[in-house]
Amino acid sequence: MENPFEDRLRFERRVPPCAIVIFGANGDLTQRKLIPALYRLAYERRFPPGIAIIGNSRTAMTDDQFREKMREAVQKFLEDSPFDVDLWNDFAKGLFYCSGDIGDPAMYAELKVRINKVAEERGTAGNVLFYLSTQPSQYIPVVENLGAVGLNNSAGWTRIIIEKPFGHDTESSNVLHDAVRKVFRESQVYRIDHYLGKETVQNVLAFRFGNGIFEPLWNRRYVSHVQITAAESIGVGGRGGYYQEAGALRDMIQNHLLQVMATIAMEPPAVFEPDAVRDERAKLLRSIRTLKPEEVATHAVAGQYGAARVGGEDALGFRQEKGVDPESQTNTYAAMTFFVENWRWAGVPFYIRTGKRMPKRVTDIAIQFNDAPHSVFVDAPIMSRSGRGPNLLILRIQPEEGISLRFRSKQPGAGMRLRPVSMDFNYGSSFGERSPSAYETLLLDAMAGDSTLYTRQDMVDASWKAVQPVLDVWSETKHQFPNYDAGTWGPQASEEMLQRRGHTWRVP
Amino acid sequence: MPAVQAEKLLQQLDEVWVSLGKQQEEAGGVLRACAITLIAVVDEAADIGETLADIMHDNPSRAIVIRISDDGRPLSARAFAQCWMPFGRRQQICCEQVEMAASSASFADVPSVLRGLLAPDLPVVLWVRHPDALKLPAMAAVMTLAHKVVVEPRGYEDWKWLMDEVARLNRAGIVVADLAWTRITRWRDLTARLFDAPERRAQLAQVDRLVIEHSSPEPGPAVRYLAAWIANCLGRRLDTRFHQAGSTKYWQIQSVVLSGPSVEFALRRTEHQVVQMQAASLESCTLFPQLKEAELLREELAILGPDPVFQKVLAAQ
Ligand SMILES: NC(=O)c1ccc[n+]([C@@H]2O[C@H](COP(=O)([O-])OP(=O)(O)OC[C@H]3O[C@@H](n4cnc5c(N)ncnc54)[C@H](OP(=O)(O)O)[C@@H]3O)[C@@H](O)[C@H]2O)c1
Repeated sequence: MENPFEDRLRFERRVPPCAIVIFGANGDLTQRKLIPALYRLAYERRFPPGIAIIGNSRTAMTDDQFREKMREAVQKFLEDSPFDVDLWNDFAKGLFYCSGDIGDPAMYAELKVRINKVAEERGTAGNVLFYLSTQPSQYIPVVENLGAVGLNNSAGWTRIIIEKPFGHDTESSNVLHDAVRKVFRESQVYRIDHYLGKETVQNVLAFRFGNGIFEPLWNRRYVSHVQITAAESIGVGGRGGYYQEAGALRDMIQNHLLQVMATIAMEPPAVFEPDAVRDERAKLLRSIRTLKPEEVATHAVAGQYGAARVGGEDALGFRQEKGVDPESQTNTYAAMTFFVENWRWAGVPFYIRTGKRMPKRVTDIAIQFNDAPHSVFVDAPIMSRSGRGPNLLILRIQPEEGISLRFRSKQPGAGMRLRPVSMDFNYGSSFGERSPSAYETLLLDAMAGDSTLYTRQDMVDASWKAVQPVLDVWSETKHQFPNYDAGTWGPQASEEMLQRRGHTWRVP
Repeated sequence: MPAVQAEKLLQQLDEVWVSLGKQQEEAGGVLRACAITLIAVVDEAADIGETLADIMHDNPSRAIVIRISDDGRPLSARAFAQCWMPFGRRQQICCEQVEMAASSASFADVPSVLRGLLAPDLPVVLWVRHPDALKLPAMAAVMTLAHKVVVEPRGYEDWKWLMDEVARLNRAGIVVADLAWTRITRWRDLTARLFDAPERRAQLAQVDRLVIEHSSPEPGPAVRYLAAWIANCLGRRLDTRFHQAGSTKYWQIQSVVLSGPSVEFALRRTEHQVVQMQAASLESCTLFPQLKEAELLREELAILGPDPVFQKVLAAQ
């Protein structure tokens, strides 16, 4: 029987009660993102009564000590909403803690008892959501141990959320997948890519498939090339040790930016349902042309920032950051040229770049349209000096979310002088409501069983394959690092990569 | 020639844009935003500046405010822009506003001016905050311009007449919303939550009684809508009682209790802004922060088409 009081027009989507088990509950991600997002969902009345959260890590704590620690985290990291004591007290009643080592089978037996007890007390109907917020090396032991005590199935549903990285190359990603597959069905596995949860990335789908006027232009006939930029102004800060192992290509391009590219370039799904959308994304990722080793030098650029003065202050170079090897070969900047081998995109370059210590924090996607075939305005050639045609569509993801269309217009006055103007749509000023954070969206989706915004193993696998040749060549290369100054847009070689095709990077 | 012309007002708006653009040239001009035309009919002294400014942020509109007085003044109007600077940005965002003053008599001139003033190709919402205006003959013509009519019964003495009028408009095929209905969305939402769990849903068949406590001497429109909605959802009439509990400046719902011989499901306001949900072993609390007028309007502006659930409630009146 359906709930007779349901009103889909006005009520927010509600999720069934469940127990959320967080591994790594004493960690940074839990305190900074997960618990604040969960509290925020309770604040917004998005949670059913009876939700339970069970944290695990090694540090010994009672339930009350854990609650106190999480209260501090929420008060510290909660963004743009007030902390309410009454609501917190109610929320905290559903917080529990189970200490123990992830590698210790006895811990899982105890965890199982806790989960069953909570199910009875809080009415979670056996639904369990596991969240792996631990170091990646611990993913496999956790999954195996969950399987060993039978926690991979329950009277209700059982799902597991895995944080990136999903391996560090094609092979290790397959090893992880094999271990997971032995215990969980693919439909139970939710691989989080918090970029896909961002409101503006979702808006790309609305923009493309909710309007009739852009999609006809969305192909090789009209699009010259696409530029995807994800720049950060900060360096690696305290994460130098971790970052040194990953680098920009692994940390950003292999996962987030290839997902963004897939969202931009995929075919329209027949229906907006999880597997239909993910099928199209996966298909696109599989169509990315694999580079031959000899092509890597012309299609990929690695960079690392060196010390420079930025805004009147001395900025450290990467090799001087804490925990970083002074001879480090890690890329803090990476740029790649991808080609998609299908009818829609054949021959259209997709340029993707990402880096630390760039002039500002910005993520956007620029679709550069082809020039008009012939200029009727003698004094106004179609191409600007930058070699860029006038029509540019920019989908801005952060910090200011929105869409801009650049076109030409007549400059007022006598004669026919043209100048570029920009038509802007600002997501924030048109819909000023607070957007839910990516973690709020994704957690709620997982509880509701909606995996549209989660990555599937075939997508993970295809995106590793797209970058694997570069990883292989770079691991054998001794780079001349540092090759860009902190506070600049990256190495010169990256400009050269575009110039080979007569293009230039925009200044976002 | 009428004294107030739409064209002149549009010209004034154009001039406003040119001068704003010049003033803000260094910051890259101003950003003009418009997603709807919002016509607000208010009484002479109404202070809606804050509400309008608030909704402009997510519903940038051409706002046309019509103030109605009892004197015999002729229609007058002026146009200007409302701007704000979003946090952390250099460029201002501006919306257009037209203020008109009319008497009950000169309101007859309003529809002809409005026709030329609507922002092209965008939805039009009519917000009647001064319900007496619904009795003016020219109102019917104003309503034909709008995609949706929103009425505000709060503080209106003749609310029984207004409820009938809303039901009549609905029967006449006008998309109409009542902010008393909007105010109970969260009560309805919590009611639905009580029955998300299948085992509680199974007990619904036993429910035969509904008690709603309210803080006003009489059960106002919200209480009546809520009771009618519950009966509609269950498909049967319950033994329904309304009681006064406490008294606040404006009416407030204090509790909603559904019960039967051996079951009870309750929502109770325990403190000013906290509502407790109770049913057998279930106990959970939710925040009900004070709702601002702008939040209610925002909810209505997000739904420009018909609201079938409300239409059913109106039809059952
Ligand atoms: N931090 C972020 O913003 C962020 C962003 C995106 C993705 N991620 C990913 O999210 C995951 C978690 O990141 P994090 O930054 O939160 O890591 P973290 O700070 O290192 O937290 C992991 C926690 O796990 C616990 N732990 C470690 N070894 C354990 C063991 N053997 N048994 C039980 N508990 C153990 C530790 O608490 P005890 O000392 O009490 O055991 C530690 O606090 C990683 O996979 C990371 O890549 C993080």
